Amino acid sequence: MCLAIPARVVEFAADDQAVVDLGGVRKQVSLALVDGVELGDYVIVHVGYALSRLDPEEAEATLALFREAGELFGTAGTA
Amino acid sequence: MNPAGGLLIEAAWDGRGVPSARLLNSRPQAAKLLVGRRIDEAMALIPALFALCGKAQALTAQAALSAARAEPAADEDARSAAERAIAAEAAQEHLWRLMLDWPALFGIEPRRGRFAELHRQLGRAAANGADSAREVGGQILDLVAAELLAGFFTMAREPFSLGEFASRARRGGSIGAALGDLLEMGTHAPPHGMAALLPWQSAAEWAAELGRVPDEVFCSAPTWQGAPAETGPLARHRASMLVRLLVERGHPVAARLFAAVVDLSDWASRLRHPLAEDMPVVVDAAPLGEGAGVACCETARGVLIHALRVDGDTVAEYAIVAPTEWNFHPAGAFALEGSGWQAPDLETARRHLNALVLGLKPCVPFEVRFTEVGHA
Repeated sequence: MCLAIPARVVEFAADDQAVVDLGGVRKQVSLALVDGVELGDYVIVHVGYALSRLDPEEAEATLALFREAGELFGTAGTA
Repeated sequence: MNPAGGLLIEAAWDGRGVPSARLLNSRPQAAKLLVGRRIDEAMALIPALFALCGKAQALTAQAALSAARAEPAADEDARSAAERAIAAEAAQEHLWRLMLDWPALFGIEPRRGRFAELHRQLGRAAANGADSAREVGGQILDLVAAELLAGFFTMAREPFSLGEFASRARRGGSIGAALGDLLEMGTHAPPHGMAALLPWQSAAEWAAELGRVPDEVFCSAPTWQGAPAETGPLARHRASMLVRLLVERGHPVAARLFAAVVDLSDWASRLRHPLAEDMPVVVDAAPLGEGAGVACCETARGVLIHALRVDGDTVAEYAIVAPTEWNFHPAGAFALEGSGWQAPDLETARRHLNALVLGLKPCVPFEVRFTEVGHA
């Protein structure tokens, strides 16, 4: 149940890699699993891979939802 | 910290073994986001919320809602399409672990290109219909037969010994090599025993067990008949002869890896022939009292349960019980097997603990940290 937080593609790198920005944190991910990614696109990332590409409206709506939920998630318990 | 949450395992190394391993689970409970929303809005949000299992989550949510509204069951075409979509997602998840994570843990170069190719085909299969699903299902069955389980198809009898088991596993490419390495690391019969294995239950049985939409406490530490239980491939394939052999000989971690390969075959079969009568249903739903419904869905990681209560057009209560919370319950499978065992050196201990976590299939990134403590 990994949450799908959109990350923005800010730079392409060698070997089908890209740098993405997730709330100010940048990391390098593989683009091997998705087609047609362009700079500025939003992708869903999981452990080093971009899993899917989102259209900007969808990504903004999802990001707004997670921002709205920030307080809720801040109180999430630990197991 | 990853905003999507994660698992942090803090293990102690005393020079002879791991006396303790503490688990911190920071995974947020996304069901909170759905309460108070209009039903159609909540249903539209669900597939966008989850990175790995969006289709399973969306179909389970829809099934629970239909049960709450006492709507008739979906027709056969819709149920076939749903099963193909869930099977494609499950196969993607298993391939990720089997082709990337397990080989990497044992220093074997993962086959990233082949993985990416299959992952993309599975992503398209759900949308492209039955023929596409049948084709990629066949490719996965070929992969399992030729590359993952090759050594087990050459003889009709079961292996006489664990040595023979490891030898046969090694004929099966990178995942077979990882399985052989796991077996040769030695037995790790859990000193505190294993958690109960969660049996398949119908949605009506879950409704009777839960009684109502479960609260947040239950969702973060679920129990079956009052106790923690393990869900996932080992629970589903406990009766498989070779899986059982590995558990009985003190190799639960290797048993989970082998069960995952068997499970991948099942999902590939479901892609080719959904709704087979000789396999348990993938999604099932039942009413859960007035205006409430529950649905359970088999996924690669185990059973996923959604329960909700509606009030007019609004979601009044929503609960999601995910596989990670079963297997990483504070007194569950990880807690029982994560500590109290010995290893010849720290590197072996690190590898074993990572293998244990991988086999229990968390749906979020995890990190294992070791701290050296005084000798006991």
